[in-house]
Amino acid sequence: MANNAISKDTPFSACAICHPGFTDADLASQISVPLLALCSKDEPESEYQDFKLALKVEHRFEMFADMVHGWMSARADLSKANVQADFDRGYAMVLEWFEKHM
Amino acid sequence: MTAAFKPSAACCSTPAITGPPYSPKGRFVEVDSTKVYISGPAKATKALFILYDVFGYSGQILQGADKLAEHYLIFMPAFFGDDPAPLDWMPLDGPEKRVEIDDFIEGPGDTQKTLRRMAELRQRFQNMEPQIERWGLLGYCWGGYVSRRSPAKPRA
Repeated sequence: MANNAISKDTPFSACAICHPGFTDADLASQISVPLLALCSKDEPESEYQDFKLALKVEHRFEMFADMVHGWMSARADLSKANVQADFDRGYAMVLEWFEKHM
Repeated sequence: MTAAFKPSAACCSTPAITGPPYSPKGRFVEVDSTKVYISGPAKATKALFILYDVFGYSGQILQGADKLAEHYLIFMPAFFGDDPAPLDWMPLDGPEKRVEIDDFIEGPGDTQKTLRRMAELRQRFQNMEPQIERWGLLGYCWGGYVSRRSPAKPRA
């Protein structure tokens, strides 16, 4: 949904997506603002390689190899220290991205 | 039924976690009949529009939003109203639930409908806070997913 909303004429200056999936390379080429993607082990690189290659904008894909799909939201078990650490690291990365691009 | 949304195996097989209760620092307000979570510094000139995931206002997503709200004014609309996916919906362990998710994606989670509503709401937020100069967009899972049908290619 976010990626659909950042094709040309978008009011947004930058975009970040957390544990996304379902990537379409056609759509990637239409994206017009810098894109950060935080991926868990459930979104392996093979799933978004074509999408990433089709991007024409500045982008960063960060893999959180120990995290599951949803660790930045409803599936974050923050009682676990490693999940809390990667939750914090993910949000710090999102902040850094927006600092840089908007 | 052909759904536009192709959930990954992990998306539909991992249960949500109910964490300890979290007290949001922001407020829930009604904007154009849609409930919206707003948090962050008043009079901020930079804002984030957040597309939540199918579980709606989980404690964890509110906590994350409040982290971002230390720097930006954040707006997280309740796209699914009072009816997000129930937490016990996942894992998707039976054909009945498979039909439910298809219905959800074709209904409350419809891409074109959501994109139109996003544009309307962002304009409302802009009118409420005219000092905002720059907007960022943050999406989670459903909110972040790339539709297999782009706006230029209407759904069959």
